[in-house]
Amino acid sequence: MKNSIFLCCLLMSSIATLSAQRTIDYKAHTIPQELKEGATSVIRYEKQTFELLDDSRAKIDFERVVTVLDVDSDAYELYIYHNPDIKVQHLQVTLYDAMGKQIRRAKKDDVNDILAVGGVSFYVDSRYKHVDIRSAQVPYTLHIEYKLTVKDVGLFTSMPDWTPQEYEQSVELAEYEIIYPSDNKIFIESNQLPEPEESTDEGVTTLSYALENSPAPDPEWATPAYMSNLPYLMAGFDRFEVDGYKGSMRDWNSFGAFLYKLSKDRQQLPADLAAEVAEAVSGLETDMEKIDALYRFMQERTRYVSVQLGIGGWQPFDATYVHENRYGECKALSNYMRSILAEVGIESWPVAIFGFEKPYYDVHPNYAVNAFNHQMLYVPAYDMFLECTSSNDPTGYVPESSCFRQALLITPEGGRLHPMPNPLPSDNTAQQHIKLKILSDGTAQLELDGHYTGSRQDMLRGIDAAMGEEDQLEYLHQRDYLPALKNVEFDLNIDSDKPEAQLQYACELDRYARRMGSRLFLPINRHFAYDFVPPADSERNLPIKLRRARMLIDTVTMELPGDMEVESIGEALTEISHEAGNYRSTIEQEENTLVWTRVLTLNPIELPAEAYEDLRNFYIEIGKADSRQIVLKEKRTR
Amino acid sequence: MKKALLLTLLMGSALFCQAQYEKYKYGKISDEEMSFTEAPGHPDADAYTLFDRLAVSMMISPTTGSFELRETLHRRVKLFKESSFDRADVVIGYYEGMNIGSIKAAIYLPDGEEIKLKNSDIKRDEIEDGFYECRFTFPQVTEGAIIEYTYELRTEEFSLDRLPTYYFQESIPARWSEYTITKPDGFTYIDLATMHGFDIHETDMISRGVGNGGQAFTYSYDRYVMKDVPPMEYEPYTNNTDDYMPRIRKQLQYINWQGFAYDPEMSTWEELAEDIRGTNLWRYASGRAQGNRFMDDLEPLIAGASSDTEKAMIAHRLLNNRLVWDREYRFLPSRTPNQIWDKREGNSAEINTAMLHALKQMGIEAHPLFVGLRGQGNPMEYYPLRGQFQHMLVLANLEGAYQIIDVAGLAIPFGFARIRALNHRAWLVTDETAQWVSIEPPLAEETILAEVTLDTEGMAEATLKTRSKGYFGSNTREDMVDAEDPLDGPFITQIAERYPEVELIEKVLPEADDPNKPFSYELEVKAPIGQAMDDMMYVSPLLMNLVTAEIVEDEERTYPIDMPYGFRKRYICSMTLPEGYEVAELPESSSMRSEDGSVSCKFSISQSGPTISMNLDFKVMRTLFAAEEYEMFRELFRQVNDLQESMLVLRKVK
Repeated sequence: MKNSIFLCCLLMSSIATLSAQRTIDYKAHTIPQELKEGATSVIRYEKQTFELLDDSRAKIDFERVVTVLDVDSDAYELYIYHNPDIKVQHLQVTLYDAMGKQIRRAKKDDVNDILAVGGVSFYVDSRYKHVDIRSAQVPYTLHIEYKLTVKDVGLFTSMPDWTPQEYEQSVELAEYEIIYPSDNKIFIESNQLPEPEESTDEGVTTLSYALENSPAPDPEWATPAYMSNLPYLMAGFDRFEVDGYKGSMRDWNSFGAFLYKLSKDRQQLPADLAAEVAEAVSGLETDMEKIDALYRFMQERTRYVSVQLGIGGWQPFDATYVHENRYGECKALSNYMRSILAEVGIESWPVAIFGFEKPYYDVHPNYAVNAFNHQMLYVPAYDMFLECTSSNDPTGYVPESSCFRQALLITPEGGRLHPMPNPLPSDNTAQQHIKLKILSDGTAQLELDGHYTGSRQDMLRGIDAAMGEEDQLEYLHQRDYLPALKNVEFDLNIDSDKPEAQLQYACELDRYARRMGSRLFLPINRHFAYDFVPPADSERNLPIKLRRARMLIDTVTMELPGDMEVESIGEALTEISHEAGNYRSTIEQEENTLVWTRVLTLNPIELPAEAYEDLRNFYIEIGKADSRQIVLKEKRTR
Repeated sequence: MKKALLLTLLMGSALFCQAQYEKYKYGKISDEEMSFTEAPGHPDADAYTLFDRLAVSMMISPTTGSFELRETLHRRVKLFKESSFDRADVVIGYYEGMNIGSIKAAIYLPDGEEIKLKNSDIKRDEIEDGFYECRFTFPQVTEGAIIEYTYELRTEEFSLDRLPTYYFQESIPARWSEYTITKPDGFTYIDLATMHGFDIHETDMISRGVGNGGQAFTYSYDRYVMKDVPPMEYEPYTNNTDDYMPRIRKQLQYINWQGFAYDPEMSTWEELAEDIRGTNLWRYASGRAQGNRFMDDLEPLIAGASSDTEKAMIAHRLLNNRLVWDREYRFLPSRTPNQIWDKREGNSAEINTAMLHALKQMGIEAHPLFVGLRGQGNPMEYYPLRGQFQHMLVLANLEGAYQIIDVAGLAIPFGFARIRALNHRAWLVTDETAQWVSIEPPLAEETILAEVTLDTEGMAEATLKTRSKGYFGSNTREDMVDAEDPLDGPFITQIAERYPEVELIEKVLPEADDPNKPFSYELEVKAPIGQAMDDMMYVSPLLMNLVTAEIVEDEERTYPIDMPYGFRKRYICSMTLPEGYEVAELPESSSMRSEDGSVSCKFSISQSGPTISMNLDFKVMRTLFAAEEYEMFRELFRQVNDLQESMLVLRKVK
């Protein structure tokens, strides 16, 4: 007994001593050199405590000391998200100079409370506390402290995820503590973090994480996910409750079941809509025909407006809401489509997905987490996805930004991961026939006949829906797709049933080739050359993941001026091969005509970090081959 | 009898105005409006403003007896294409002290159905401290629908000086744009409208009483209408775009009303100057007590300085190092130099007032220089309007030379103003005089000296000595700081654009860099500038482009080109040819210049043994080019663009 009291006292005194010894260092010069490398800011100390009080309430204590090293760093800016369920308390921000001397403390008028509108959000009830105090001279240090009380602990804003550092930010010491009732269970996935310390006391479990001396990671091009090179911790509880809806993050099935519950009984159609739906499918025999008709029906009558009020940020507005307003965000529109399909007996399920080209986090089967920002609809009978925020995509077309990843199907039986389509190069093609009639002063008459499919037609489809012809031309010209604006012929045709587009264009270009003395320098594919080169990265760390499939075929037929002949034409055949794709171009001359044909295939691919330089060289070689020029000179005899 | 006649006349004209407005009365959509399938003359337009009317009234409130400003907007827009649907998302911003009311909104569907918005569809939120938004969106938006809304903003907290500005032109064509203003007779405003091609301009007088049997006041009424206004087209390198749009901008000239006379500022520039001399600026700039804490820190630093310039530069550096600009532009300070010194932040006028204060305390002649910012309108020298100024610079006499000073962060060197302040003209106010002066920033200059050795494969080893001066120096410094990879950064990025396979051998940065001096650094690279084919080699002597053709991409222009500063770019190259090759053809030397010599380009190339010498020198000395000069400007730029792609032709020696 005596011993255990003694031990307890020792422990207590050591904790107290540790706590007392932890003095926060505001001086910038004490940052170790290795933590300054590539860093625009350094987390000197961070402590977050997330305490789950019951299935729906939590407290968060946050403290961070950050030194800003670069004037362009935005680490000084503090945004604290809050809404009717999340209250901010005890917000305090203090500014210190490079020597650690206090400059000033944020006052009430330094804190702005801003409605979280903007971007796609139109109606919202969420806000930000924004504090922006900084020093004119770097380095300087900010000490930030605040507390949050959270009602309706949920999936989207207040589960205890933790990302202790950002790109170009290093960490001296960051600590994170999760405290939760021991009768609940926590599920964790972490990256680049040491194992936590775990303790249980009086029915409460505490997990303590610490990250020390973590250098600043570099953002890299074409990585598997945004967070791949960051330390992070994902966490979810076996039990949670949001606005009376109980849920679990035990596995994908449970998470999906919770999301399904949120959308349950919101598919009732008003009588007039039901009648319109019946009319829309009248005479159609197959379910596929009905899906197509109803998708068009939905596209024609709705538009995207983001309404994020109350639980509406998580739960779809019901079909009647969308019917009455003819607008909604992705969940509401998907639910509307689901409802009208259900009306004709076709089952469909919502799909949660991350909808940008590079996912924030690469979801996988072994860990359930809400890493999604978008919703689509899935028709299981046809293994078909419907993008319900689009007003002009063909039925079943999945934009490239949603391909090459896993998505969560939200089914009546719960959730399950499902792969999104992985398009082939032949799904995303640009096939262009370019005719050039070259005059000896360098002027050229150009004709383009292009046929585009898949992701190569997305932009053309978009501008066709959005703009008149003049604006389309200007849009394409400004983005270097088309070389001239005036005195041109232009005809864009979009296939409404297939992801295909056709573009015809003709113009005269007064400086296509460059005349110099007796010679003419003739670019082989001046305006349509493939010239993308990945950024230089001499210290690549992460594996490469390219989510793009392309087949780009250009045939350029050049009619040469009669008074000139070829001086140099270069190789007749150019072939470049790599796991990431193939390039092949040929050039043939027949009398006064040159025909250059290039087929470039780009594959979606995963490569190790060491392959980066080689991959970049592949693109460089393609760029060189596509930008080659032919030299003509005046004929010796006329 | 006369009175009765006048009344009849007044009533008659009021009825006439009313009759015109009846045509567009809220909720009365004509069959013609419903039948439009495109905007006449603008088939590409995705939407068409059928009617837009801002009615501004400044009248005595019958309830409070104070002046009340009311802005009543009535807008009707036809939506032709899906791309216009975001016009159905309506956001009305207003400030604390203003009330928004009388909101009505409806959508008229192509089938004739009308859907009115309910009160619950209209959200009002405080966006941030003191700023509010009213938001609503229309249901059932579809192609061919017409949206219509009206609202009224009311306030008694407003400035008499300036009435709300109205633009008759927008990004879509407008069939009818109308502005009316009702104000007390005796309040005289001048009209700063940039054009007067109004289809209707009517004036009238009306009488209104305050309360039951209360005093009646006479108000003047003006109505301006423009019909069939084309959409505004964006053109790059246009400054102060709003000035080219037809608009009404009313500025108070004087008040002579009910025995009350007020002459705010409109009489003369000298009177406005006198008024400004009476503001805090003069006190803060001159009173030792207003900035003594700042001066206590400054004085030890300037103790050893040998010239006024040196002292001014030390003060400039100290202010830049200590003060954060709060991103607010102001032309007069609200806080003293001491106050911002303690808080370590201030607005643009406060920070420059501290500079002015330091100069005066050091016995250096210095004055405020008021400017309107780029994008905020061209200077209006005809009218003494303080509203046109948003920022204050400092003009100092340093060893007999006047120099502009702007404490704008470490990226802007001493003697330079921030780019936004380069709006061509500024108003100088001294203790005795006031006058407009030109702001003519020194040319930004960039010189590249390239020594190139070419091998038989076309690979060049090149040493580039670069020197960037003025604004180019600032840009180069910033690019250098932002560079994350060895192949990032000034000049190397431009080389990599031409030759992605460029290999960087060495970058030599200056040992000590003074941000107030030109920035110089050296690069050593390997790049494949020659293409060897058969017996020939084609070589580009420039490793990078000096200019881009972006500025001259438009076929024609409506508005002037307006650049903040002029520039000069030089590329001087000495290239040693590989053994075994001889010159087959060199590009021709050439020289061209605009008529006035403000744009010029010289290109010379010569051979001496195995060495080719090349010099490309491009100057744009002027910052403003009228639309009529665009053709000349474009042609010169295009020729420079061609020159920078010049090729040498080499041939194997047989």
